[in-house]
Amino acid sequence: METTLTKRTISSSHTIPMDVFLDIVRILLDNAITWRVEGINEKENSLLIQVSIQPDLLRHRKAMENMQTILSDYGYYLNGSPNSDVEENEDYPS
Amino acid sequence: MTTTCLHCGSPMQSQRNTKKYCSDNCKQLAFYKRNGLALVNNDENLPLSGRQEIEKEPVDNEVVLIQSYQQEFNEQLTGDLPLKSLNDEQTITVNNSFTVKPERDEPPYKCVLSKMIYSIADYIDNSEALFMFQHPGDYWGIHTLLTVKWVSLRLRCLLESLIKLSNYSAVDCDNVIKVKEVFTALIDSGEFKKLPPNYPFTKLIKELEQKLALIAKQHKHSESIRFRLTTNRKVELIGIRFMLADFVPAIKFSEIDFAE
Repeated sequence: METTLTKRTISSSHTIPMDVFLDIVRILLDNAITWRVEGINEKENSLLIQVSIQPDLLRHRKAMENMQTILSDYGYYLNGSPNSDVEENEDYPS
Repeated sequence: MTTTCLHCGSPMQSQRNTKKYCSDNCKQLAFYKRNGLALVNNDENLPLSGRQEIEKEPVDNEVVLIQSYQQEFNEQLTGDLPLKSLNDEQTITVNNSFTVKPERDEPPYKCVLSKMIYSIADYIDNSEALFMFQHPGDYWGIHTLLTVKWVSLRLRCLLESLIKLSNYSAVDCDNVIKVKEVFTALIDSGEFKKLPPNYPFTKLIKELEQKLALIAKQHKHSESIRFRLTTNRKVELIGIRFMLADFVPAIKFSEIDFAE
């Protein structure tokens, strides 16, 4: 009986500022994640990339988490403030 | 994610990768400890009023601090089981033709840390300016505070403009000249002259104005130029903008004025 093992993949698009582009590419290359450039935003100096990961692989999930953390931290320093860190940890009454 | 406060050692939850301290109190105490400042009462979260010159830590120590934190962070993030227990794991059989090794046989994930982001975080953590702008009443009287806010509002706008300009592939020379002229107007303003000696960015404002004047002069016959900041400068500007973000609101460059 022939069985074909298909790899489930999830694709997502991300805007990558050039300041952290090399860090993101390092993550993608080190973990053999498929990615491609979808667009260039010259005004913002960023790239739009599509990333395809296998969610069944732990290292792919961790790599995606690593990537999102870098992007989130960069956005926090570029556009956020010290108090915005406090606000995200506060519980607001419903 | 769960990390450990570098000052008190207590565990803390944070969405941000670069968070080092569990509270402002620990951050402040760590800063004072690093700079050798004695506190009158260790329980109180008050900065000293003696405007002591804070020496910057030597570069080597900063590198060691970043590296040791990276190592600690890596160890916390990977949290993998020792190899002995991995060898004892049985493989999972999917069907008669295939076997799939459990994920724990994969090498541990090595977290990539962004040097840029850590440089920014380090710049902010090592700067007294953050405390000053979070507790301005401890550093400046009411009248002085008005002057400090007036200048800081315009400075924040100018820094955001410079960061934006540095992201464009090409910039009209006119835009660089406009930004330079605003810096000059700021320096020439009465409020700037009234800034207290402990305002942390007086020297930076003058430096930026001089550099922009030089760039404008060098490219006065060009229509567009490539405006780039060095990595260290960009880290500095992003860090300062961040520190000012809660102190003064954001305004558009077109709205900037010098009415006193």
